[in-house]
Amino acid sequence: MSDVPHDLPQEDLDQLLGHLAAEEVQAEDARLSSLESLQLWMSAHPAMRNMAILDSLNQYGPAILLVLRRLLGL
Amino acid sequence: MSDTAGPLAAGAISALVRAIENEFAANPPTLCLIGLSGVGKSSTINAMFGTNLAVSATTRGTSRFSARTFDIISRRTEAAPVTCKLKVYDAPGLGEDETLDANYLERYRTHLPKCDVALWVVAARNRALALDQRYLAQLSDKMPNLVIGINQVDLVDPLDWNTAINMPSRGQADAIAIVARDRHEKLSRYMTADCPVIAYSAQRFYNLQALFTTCLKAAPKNRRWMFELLKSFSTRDWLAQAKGLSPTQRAALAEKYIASDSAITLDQLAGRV
Repeated sequence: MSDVPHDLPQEDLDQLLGHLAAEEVQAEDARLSSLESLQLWMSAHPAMRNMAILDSLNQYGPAILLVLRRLLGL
Repeated sequence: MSDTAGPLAAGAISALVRAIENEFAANPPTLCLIGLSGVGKSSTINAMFGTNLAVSATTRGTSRFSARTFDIISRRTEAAPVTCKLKVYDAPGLGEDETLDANYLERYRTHLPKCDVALWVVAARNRALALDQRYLAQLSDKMPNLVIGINQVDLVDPLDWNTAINMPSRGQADAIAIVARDRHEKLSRYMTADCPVIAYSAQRFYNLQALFTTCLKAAPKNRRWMFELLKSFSTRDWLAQAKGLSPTQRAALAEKYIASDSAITLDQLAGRV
């Protein structure tokens, strides 16, 4: 934190950083849960199977990953 | 990461977008919003999903049970805009008039089984829980995915919210913990199963992430991703209200510590499916 300038009392700063970390843990928890959920949905979705996206994953793993990353804005 | 997807990628993108939009259109994620008038139900949904639910009118003589479907362009996608939908059941006037409440409760009972999540909101400053208890007793058997939100924690005594860091003071934090335990104890008596209780402030975005994550995880497992795509806030919104920091300082903190604005990480997808 030393490289982020601030005028807050140390106690306030500690609280703020603690909550900031807690918020990010929660956000990451939601993201991971969503990832798992998306996989579940895709694996059960007939259209996904028809599009052979799942089949393609093994063959085109990196390419499909790129597709999904672009879709989801990474 | 390189941003040079080839023809296969482009085709797959449009197919995925189509499949996702079709899923949202056919089976939109559905949230049942319950709570007495004035507790901040609409503010909560507006803050989490960027909807435009109107705050309650002062008086109204007719039934105000609503089922609305919102079109939301996901902020979680960049490569292609994805039109998502969110369905919200709500009775904004619940608790205002006993002659209307019976109708609201009946309609909640009809729609609750179709919902992914039921969010029951109470106001932290309100100690009178008799109506909530009565209504909860009538609805609890219809709510498998219930989350209780305790809103407006910034108004808890001793009313000394620390605006510098947009957090409760030490004394207020202790009082909020007591309120959360008390509401949980008093409401859980009327529930068929225990459920999570989250104390938050929608207006200040304080702990809204905890409420969002809890709601998402209460949804059926194969539909949680839809809520993530609908999310329209981040930790930055909470930090933006920390008045003890300059815009430059907030930006520096966000740059260093906030990663939740980025889209869902799918690094492990290929290996898991």
